Amino acid sequence: MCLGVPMQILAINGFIARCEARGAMREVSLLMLQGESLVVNDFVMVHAGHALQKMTGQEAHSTWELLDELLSHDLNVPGA
Amino acid sequence: MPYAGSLSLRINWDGNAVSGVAVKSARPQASRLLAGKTPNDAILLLPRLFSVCGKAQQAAALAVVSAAQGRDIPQLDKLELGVACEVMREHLWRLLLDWPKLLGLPQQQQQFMRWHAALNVIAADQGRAENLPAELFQVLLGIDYKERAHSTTLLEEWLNAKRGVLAPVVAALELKESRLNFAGKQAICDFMPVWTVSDVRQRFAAEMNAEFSAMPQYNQRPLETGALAHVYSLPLLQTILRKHPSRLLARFIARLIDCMDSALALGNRRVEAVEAGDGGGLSMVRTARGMLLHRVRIQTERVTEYLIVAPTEWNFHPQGALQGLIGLQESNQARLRETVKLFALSLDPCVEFQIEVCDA
Repeated sequence: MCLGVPMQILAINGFIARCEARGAMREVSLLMLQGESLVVNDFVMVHAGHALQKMTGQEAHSTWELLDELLSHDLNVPGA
Repeated sequence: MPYAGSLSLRINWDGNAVSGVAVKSARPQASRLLAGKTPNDAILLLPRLFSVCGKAQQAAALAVVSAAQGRDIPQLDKLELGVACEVMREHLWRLLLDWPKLLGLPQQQQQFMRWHAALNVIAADQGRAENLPAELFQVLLGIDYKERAHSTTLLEEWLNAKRGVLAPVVAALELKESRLNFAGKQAICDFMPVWTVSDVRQRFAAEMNAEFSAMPQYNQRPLETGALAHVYSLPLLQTILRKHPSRLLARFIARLIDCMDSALALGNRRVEAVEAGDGGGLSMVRTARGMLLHRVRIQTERVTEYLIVAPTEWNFHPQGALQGLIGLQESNQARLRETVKLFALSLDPCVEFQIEVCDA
């Protein structure tokens, strides 16, 4: 299933942003968010290398809580 | 990052041919988070997790909870509009960006961005869609849209003439597929029939559990879902499949048909739900990738069970459509990887995938 991951923008170069989440760095395409005003430190929802929506820090935080909960579920499933 | 999940495609290759394909999915089961939540919380939570298919997931969640509670789906027309726009965006993303990139052709970024922005406005019910079909036909296919003409009739004309921005993509794909050599019979995966949500309930009610959700099958066999499964019986697709049985071009054209049909009839029904007894409900959404199912059980205003069966689980089933690569004659590893990528893209996983080629 197509889960998105919130990431924070560290640098922007044209349509490409260098983003970070939990210590992981990714080059992310901003193509889908053309027209949005994006600056360094903004949060975006990233899916398969594309930023799909801008989000607030609070939204990113609460989504991370959900993802952490999800991962802990998966780690607790035998054989998962 | 483990959160987003991924697919691993392991190809056994002896230097001349593919002898085996192993598909391994490492994707979190998000529906586990929903147990214990109130139905409303469940509906609000899903779109926060699913970004790329958020409208379809939201529609499926609203529909299944409504069915379980014996209510009509609220604002169904608005949901259908959102899903249709999301379907078109997904198809255009593949057609204008992903396929050209894999085939070494220029991506149509500016055109995609224009339609992406227009679809956002239409989905929010803040813009009109009357000109969209004509514009899609003109730009993508280079032909004038004829009122009341069926899109497959127009596509048949177009496949012969090949104009518009998709012409070089289709020409490259035809050439690529015509060069594939399977030296014998290629394994094929059955297409999923065009089911209603009631058909699905009847066929799968007894076996819908976490195991089914991770690896769904019908009569002990995986099925291919998606645009091609929906339209493969059309004469145009039958002709293409006879000429190109590997289904690469057929899946591309089927997506194009689904995109055009969505633009021509934005309100076409894609969301269905049915009550499933004992506080249960089942919903089905026809997404760009295929059939998305949600099943819920609600007791004393709490979700006691929630299952999601995504189209990627059908299309990337370990014994599913990618087994069609077995027997492929290829002596060049780089070309083999490109071909595997094309097969994967034609089935369109909703997560990133890695390809590993192993000595057989």
